Amino acid sequence: MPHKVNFDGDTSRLYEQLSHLTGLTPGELINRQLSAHHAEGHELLALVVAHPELHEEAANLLQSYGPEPLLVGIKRIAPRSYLTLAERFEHKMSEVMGKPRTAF
Amino acid sequence: MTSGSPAKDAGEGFTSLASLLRAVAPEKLEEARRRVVMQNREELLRRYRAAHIEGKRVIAFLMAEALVRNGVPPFVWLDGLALDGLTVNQRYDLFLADLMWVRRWYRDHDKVVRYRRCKVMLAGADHLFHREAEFAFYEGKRPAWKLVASLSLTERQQWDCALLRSATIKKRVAATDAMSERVFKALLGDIRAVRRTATFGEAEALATLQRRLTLWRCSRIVRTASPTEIATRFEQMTGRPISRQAVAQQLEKVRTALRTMEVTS
Repeated sequence: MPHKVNFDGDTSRLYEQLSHLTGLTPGELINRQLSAHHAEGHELLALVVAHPELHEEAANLLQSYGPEPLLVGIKRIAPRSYLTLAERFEHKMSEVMGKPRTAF
Repeated sequence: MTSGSPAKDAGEGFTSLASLLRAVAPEKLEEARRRVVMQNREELLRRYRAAHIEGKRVIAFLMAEALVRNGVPPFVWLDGLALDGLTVNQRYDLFLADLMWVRRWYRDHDKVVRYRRCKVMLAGADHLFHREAEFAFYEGKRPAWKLVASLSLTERQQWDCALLRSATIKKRVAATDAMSERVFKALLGDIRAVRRTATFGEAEALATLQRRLTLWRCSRIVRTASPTEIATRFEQMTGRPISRQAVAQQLEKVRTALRTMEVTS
């Protein structure tokens, strides 16, 4: 789905230069860079699905993004027993593979 | 191995595997990949089956990547399991596995494919691969035989695959399955008649029986009856190499046993 994104001045200049350097459009560049952060977005949504009462606090994590990493913020506001998607994945890996020899 | 018919999986909707992969932090995926590549063939197969059956799709995908890299074709992965009741997501994952196999082991195949989107699916970057595979699969509504035709898969490639098989190949698989029990009994009868010695006890007899049955199955796959080709299939199925001379010798014994027991293959 296409979205129109307005860059601020610095960002706009940066992406023009990066676009010139790589031959990729700013949209393509952003898609590539953002793909590394998809998991964080999924983590935030998973928290709200599991705990709808945390909707506002979860939204605030992204509204006031940085310097605290999103995942650290999620762990801070989530109940102690809450397992992030990454932790659930590690559990599944352990079920299939056994416990890792070193810390995951 | 599978019906490949349009979705009959009313209980479960289609979920893109690419979305599930994106939901896992890249560093976690890489760490998991590092653990997976340390597994040997048998461990990978066992764990792939467990993950596939239990619906641990991301983990099954990581195992699938490693199995493809190790030269174990998808038709071996779920060998011996009934696959009639696969969910739409399990069928999609097998479809991806078949594509991964063709992408890795038939690198020039995209050149003989007529359709642009299929070419991208076979030779494009990873994110394009997933996008085009989802488009082609059409949430399970596109039957396997149509995908086989669109991808111009050869008979040999279809034998490698788990899901991407035409009706002709599926009929041959069904015929082989139907004959297996009679062939097994004939080979068992033959091996029982062999005198046991200090070097050929029950364990050796069982290993011989399994080897001959597997070679017979491989011979059903290889239409040309080439011992070299049958030896390749045997190694794919068992992980153990065998010489073409041994293949020819063992298959002669199989044929004699089947003639004696009046089993036609």
